[in-house]
Amino acid sequence: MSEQKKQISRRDLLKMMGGSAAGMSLAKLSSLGGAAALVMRGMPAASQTRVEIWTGFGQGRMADAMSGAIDQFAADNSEYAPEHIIVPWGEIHDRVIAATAAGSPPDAYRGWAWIVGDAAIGALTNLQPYVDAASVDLDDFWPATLNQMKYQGDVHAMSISTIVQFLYYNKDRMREAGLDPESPPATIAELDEMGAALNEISDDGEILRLGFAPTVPSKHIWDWGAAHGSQYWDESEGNIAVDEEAMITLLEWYKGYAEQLGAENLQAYANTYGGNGFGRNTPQGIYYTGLVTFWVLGSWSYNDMGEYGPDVDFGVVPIPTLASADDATPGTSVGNMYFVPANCANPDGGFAFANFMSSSPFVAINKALPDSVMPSRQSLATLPEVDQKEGGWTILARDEILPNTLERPSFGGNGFLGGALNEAVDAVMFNDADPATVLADAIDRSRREVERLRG
Amino acid sequence: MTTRGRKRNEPQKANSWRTDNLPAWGLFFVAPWIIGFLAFTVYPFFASLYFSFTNFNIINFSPRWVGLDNYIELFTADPLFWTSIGNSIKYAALLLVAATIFDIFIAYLLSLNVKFLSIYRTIFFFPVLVPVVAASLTWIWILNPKFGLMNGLLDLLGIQGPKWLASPDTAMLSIVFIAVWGSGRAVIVYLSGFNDIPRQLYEAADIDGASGLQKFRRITLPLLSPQIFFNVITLIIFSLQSFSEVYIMTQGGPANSTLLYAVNLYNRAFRDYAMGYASALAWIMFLLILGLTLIIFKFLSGKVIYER
Repeated sequence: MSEQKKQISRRDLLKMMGGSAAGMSLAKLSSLGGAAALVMRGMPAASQTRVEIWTGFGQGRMADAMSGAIDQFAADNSEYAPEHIIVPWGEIHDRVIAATAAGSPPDAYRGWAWIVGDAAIGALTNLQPYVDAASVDLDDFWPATLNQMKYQGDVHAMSISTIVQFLYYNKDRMREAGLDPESPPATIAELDEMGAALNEISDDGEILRLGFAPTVPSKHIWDWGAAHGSQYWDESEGNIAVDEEAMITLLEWYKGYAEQLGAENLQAYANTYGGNGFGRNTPQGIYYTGLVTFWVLGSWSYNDMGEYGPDVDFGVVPIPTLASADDATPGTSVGNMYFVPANCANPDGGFAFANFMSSSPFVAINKALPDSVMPSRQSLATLPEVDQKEGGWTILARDEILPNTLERPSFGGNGFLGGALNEAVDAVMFNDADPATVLADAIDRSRREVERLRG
Repeated sequence: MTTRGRKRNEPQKANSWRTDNLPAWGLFFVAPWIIGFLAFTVYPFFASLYFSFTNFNIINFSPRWVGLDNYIELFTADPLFWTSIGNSIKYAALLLVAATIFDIFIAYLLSLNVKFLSIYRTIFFFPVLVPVVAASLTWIWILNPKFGLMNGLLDLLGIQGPKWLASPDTAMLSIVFIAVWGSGRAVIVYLSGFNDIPRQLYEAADIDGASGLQKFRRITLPLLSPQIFFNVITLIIFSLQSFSEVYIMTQGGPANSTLLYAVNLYNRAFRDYAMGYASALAWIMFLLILGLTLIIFKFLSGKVIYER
């Protein structure tokens, strides 16, 4: 080999390094495009600051409503240039946490009340100073929703709307079974009785059509616990405060369904039909085909019924409660929240957007109501447009449920408690475990988790 | 020959770009890998050891030293630790036995001189090429208790199919079954082992009147031992680290019957953000795999017959 071929000149080296740098720059730029599913707006003007907003509203009527809300925010707040980035709902929280850890979170994102617990690990911006500076009327929020917006007394989220839980019921199937569709169950005993009358079971135990089971579509442990009279959190003590007697009764109730229908049969039913939220967004879903008669879901499903099961004659009532439980409430409510992650680039813009979404009548009418959720501010929930919604669900949610509901707790570690309680349900249903023992274990582990998060 | 701008026989400068600098050039070119290795393997390795002695969440980068608390808690007060470790050992043991027998049998069939051999080999290797997520979602449907292909086939035979992933009794067996289906890589290794066994040994055994079973025990198995040894080690490591299929198909259920160690670790790290605790779990797993590997080396390596 010649000596010339063995050498690399300085010029060649500089060329190589320049080329590498250019290549890396291009690669970096191209990766920005892949980071988000969709960016809705262009570059901000010089006088504007960019506000990056993440939500999961990617398609359908909810996406259209979100686009309209962002346009309205841009029109009302010329100093901000909102950029809407669509992230799948199932990933949005994890992605925000990862981005926050990496120092590049969005300025605002849409999540649920339980995320307020992230304040315990420092993942959220404390919005109390912003709320004070903007003189936000916190008393206007539903009390349950306001409790969820707070972590250790300070506001950490702005709620746009609040989900209450309904018991949906299929009137046609009730008629088939000789039940009066205008007299849906009001207590858990009535629900058990009517559900049992509507079950269709094969000789080998397979569930063909379900009247009611508390595990379908999901366990709804928070809601059924509240309906049995349990609380979950004592803010004054700053600790988990589960009503053990109520929760043991609850676990025995789940166990009764395992004995009646078979835990594995119920699980098989869920495995068979449970894909894509039990077919929530298809006309073949169990709610629209009579495969289940009574089920609990959030109010957000109400408009789905009209969209995917227009021919289904259905009704909604508050979640039945245990007649003997004095403290029983019709399930729990969950605030739909906008959060401003810690260390975001534009917290002012993030709060401005969150506050806009929480306070705008335009958003309440054109975003919350089309999503069939109740505006979180009482002043917006009493707009004439709310009363005029078809089906009467708004009146039921606003006048009967929201004032009486228990908030889904949003303390740091609430997800752990939910997971531990769900494991307890599995243990009593599948393994015939003693309810008191598994409940005590769940509470004990969850309290340790709360302590750990406190550091 | 001269280099550009330099006369023949001109003494070289000490810092010239010449071949004697090749090691430096080599380092320069591998530097991206070395930097990546240090940043993404070496540093996390030791950082996780440190974090395992701390209370640390992913956001607030101020780990608080808690000594052995995480380790004490997981051994004494965390029932899911023992559940998941038991499940993982059960999974590894079942998979080890099932996959080894199945893979050797399939490799033996594929070593026979039959028509369409390349097609058969492709069929058995094909599952390796299918992305885990796609395969898992497909298996969810195949094992659907009511509409699934598997129970449909059993129904044709007059057998009432099990509930597969819906039952704590069969969920673990189901995921082992799926893992065996995807073990085509091991089949290839065994196949190469079969092809390396000299035919003359079988011919000599035939002359001596050895039965098929004797030939398998005295010739095939010993000469296949290097491949078995390799596959056993890799299978144990794989099975103890298994995560994706289970997370997609069952999330550890029903009733924690498929809660493998890695799924539990993931939940603690990325659901509860207990990074310090999860680091402790990771180190226990590392030590478990290391220990099992050393034990297998100690007891099996002497029995492995390598051809000279």
